[in-house]
Amino acid sequence: MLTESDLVRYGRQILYTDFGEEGQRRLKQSHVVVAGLGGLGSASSVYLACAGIGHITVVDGDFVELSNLNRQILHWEEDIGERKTLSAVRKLAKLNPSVEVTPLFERITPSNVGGIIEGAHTVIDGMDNFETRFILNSACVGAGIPFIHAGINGLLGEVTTIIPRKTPCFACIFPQGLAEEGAIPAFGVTPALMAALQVTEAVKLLAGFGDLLAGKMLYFNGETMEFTVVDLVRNPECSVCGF
Amino acid sequence: MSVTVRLQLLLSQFADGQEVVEITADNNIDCLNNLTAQFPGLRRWLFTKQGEVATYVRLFINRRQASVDAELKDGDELLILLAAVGG
Repeated sequence: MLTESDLVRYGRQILYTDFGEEGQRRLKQSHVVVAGLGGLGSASSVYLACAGIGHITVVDGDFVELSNLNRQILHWEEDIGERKTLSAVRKLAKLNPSVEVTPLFERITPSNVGGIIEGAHTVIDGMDNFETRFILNSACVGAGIPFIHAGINGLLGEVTTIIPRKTPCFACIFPQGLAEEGAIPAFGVTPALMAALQVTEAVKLLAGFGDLLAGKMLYFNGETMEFTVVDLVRNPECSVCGF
Repeated sequence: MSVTVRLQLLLSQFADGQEVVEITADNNIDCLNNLTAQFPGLRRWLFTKQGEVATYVRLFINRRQASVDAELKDGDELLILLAAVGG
């Protein structure tokens, strides 16, 4: 049920014809897990809270460092040395006190991922490595929870929405794991932009309107300002979602 | 077959700054080999030290995801992108 305050706070998005009060009610009843509170997760959790997602779980096992501050907008200089989850909860609670935020200060592993995503309506990828993305993908496919992936490198970014058993999953796109290669170049604006697109996908998915990047990957090139959308193909022999 | 290879910006700097290159090849792996023969600086981005196509390389024929051994037709566009790992 929307309160008088909700109707005022979210009034501008409620005006959107395909969304309306019903869309807002759906967001209020939704639970979204933000996996990782780096550049992507900082921006996505802010926009999820602003949009009025009823329950947001933020997951990260790291502490805030000075080198994070060019892009991880949820963490400020005063937070250096603090748990990222605590830094996030403090800001999000001030931004929108009506949103329930659950902090989980832990690294995502195959053994704890099931508990982390249990009951979620969607999971937002805010990771900075492929190993954890594979763990999240497998768990989301197994539990039937949509997984909204994004990644960045410098001024390059990518976004896709994975709907279990309907679209190619992360393992269809990357049949094998990737070797990590140390620190990756990152401006603040690239994860911010990709996170905004992730939340756009989440809002449409949860409220039930619009078209999703389902089975499609959107690539962004910030140096040439090109957006490219390509079709992804499901792998019938995929070890995660193959049938 | 003559195909148009479109390179992501990161890769084009290793192809004399060209984002679009015409290559003759019958399939994707031939195309990558011919491309890297022409621009050796690309090889370390596209292949592992063991000579296999790196797993973070993604290939799209006419904007549709394609496997390494997919066949190419005259006039096809092969888009080569690298995974964006960071967050």
